Amino acid sequence: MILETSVAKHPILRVENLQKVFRVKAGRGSRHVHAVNGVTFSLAKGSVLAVVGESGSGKSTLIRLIAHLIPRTSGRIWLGDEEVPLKLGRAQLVRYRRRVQMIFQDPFGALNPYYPISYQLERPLSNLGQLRTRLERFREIVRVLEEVGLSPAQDYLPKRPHELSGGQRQRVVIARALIVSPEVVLADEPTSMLDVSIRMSILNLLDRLRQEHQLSYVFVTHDLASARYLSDHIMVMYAGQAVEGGLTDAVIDQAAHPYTRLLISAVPEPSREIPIANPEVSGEPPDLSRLPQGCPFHLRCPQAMERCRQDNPRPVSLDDEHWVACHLYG
Amino acid sequence: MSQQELLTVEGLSVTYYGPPDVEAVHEASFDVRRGEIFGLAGESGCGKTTLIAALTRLLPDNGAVTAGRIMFAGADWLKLPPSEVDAWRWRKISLVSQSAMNSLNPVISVGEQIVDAILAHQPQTSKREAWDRARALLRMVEVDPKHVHSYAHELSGGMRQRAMIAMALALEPDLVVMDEPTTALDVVVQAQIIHQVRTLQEQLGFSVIFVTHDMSLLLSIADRIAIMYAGEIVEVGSRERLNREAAHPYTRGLIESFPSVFERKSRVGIPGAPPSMVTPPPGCRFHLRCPARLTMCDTVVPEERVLDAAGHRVRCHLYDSVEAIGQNGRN
Repeated sequence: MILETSVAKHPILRVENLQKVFRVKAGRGSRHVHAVNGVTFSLAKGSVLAVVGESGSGKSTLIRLIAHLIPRTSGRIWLGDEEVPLKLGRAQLVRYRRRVQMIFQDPFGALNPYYPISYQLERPLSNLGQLRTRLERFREIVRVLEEVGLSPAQDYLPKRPHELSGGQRQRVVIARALIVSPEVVLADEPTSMLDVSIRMSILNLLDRLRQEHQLSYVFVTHDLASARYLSDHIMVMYAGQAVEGGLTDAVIDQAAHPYTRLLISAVPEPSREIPIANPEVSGEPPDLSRLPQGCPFHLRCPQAMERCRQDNPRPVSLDDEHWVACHLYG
Repeated sequence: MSQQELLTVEGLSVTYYGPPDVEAVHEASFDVRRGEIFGLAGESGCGKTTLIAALTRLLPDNGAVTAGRIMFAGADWLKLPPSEVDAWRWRKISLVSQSAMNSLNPVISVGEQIVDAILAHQPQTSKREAWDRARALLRMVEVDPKHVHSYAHELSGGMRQRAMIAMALALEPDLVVMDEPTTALDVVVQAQIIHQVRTLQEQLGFSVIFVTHDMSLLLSIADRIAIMYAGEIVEVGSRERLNREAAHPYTRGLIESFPSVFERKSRVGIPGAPPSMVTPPPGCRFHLRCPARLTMCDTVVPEERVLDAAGHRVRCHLYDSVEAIGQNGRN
């Protein structure tokens, strides 16, 4: 039985043993890249799960699987009480997209440069077919623009993306996700491409919208500090696997996995006595097409034992809402 | 200029000729001391990359220094003829840029590029010596010396950036300018490289200008930090001083823009967005976003004040009354 990681009582979203293997051509044959390797979690209504990890950890692939942007290799997904089948028909996909929306990292690439903002926001409304008349749709577009802080909305409707700043563009991307009143929002590094001084305003906007609409987020980030800021639960990924998770405060303040500790020690934190620790590990994450046997972190782990080279550890519970996949804990 | 200072920049302005003409750097002044890490912080478009281009004499053809001067290692750096600048490159000043992938030549092995640099600047070196040095340099930045024969695409991002640092140090320069050297890297690799630079600096004694938008990083590693906003340097101070009490409202806002891993505290960042450099705002360039704005900030350009004997300087009307210290503190 798989441990129910990041337990939620009445989950709005639940995924079990999610896997994604990409086949990549290599010379005459092909390689199998194990991007996501058996990830399980659940997300409570109105809460935020931060998925943190370095590049190549599989965090972006994970939410693309959930968003149905790419098909999963195996594993199960539930939205509310309904299981989401591996393949969705057109009508099913429309229904799914109404409930699950995505916010992309790059506000420059996520908007079509050719069309005005009004068009970009009307598209999801007409595609996902909720509001019949143009007037209804127009009212909704104005309401959402004001809600994301682009006010007065009339000023923004005729503008094209290049006429807006990066922060304003990301607000449009957020408005576009919200306009269909989704229940789950998947956010892929929503602030990492923005100017530093406006990142907080976007995080604060996401937080306010969550509270006002009882939204649930899966928030993918490489930045532990913004994960702490926005999330109530956190899941740490390494080489396609979830290695630790639970309540955000517990995972950061009582980090158990050697990889989580490494990540935290490497974050620049001026208030700490040693603002950036000298990492006691060398090397870099493994090649996902040639994963080592055993724990994926054992090659770099300062506490690796014989067992770590043999068996991939299963998640064990440390506390009510804190788990870790590491042989140090039994 | 005292012995301590390696580089002094006075009233430097840089314009790109358009149309429209854009003054990307306006009257920047600061100095870099021997053996220190000098941080330069600012958001995209604030002029930090232009300032670095002027410092390294690598401005594009449509850009020119319109005012000010730079004293570097005892020379009037902007007046040196190009041939002499070329001779100083790598030997006195070198540059590590953000994307190591694009900076390394993809069709020449990493070792050959280091050897080229050594032979071009020290022609008396034998080829064999140069290759030995290339291996030693890679070893110094903890890249396996077997990679002298590797090409850029065969190395990971972290290894490429280490190789760039090895190259930048090949001729033991006095000043290494690092433009967002770790921005594209993961946080663990960033920490490894930062410690590497610190160790090498202690051994070799060079100065570093470290350019980044990451204020948390500078407040963790730099000795002194300059903050740039809309083409101007608005504050210069030691890391300790800025950590304890940053003076300029923009600096404070920038520090506030980085949440902490260790506490969950509501933060607001800075309202609005940086201004266009084509038509910078009148008065103080930050006044439109400033939470401490006075009436005069809308129209009157603030002068720089020196706040203490250690040279903590700020350009903000909130400190207009400290003029007396200002004149004593300036040397």
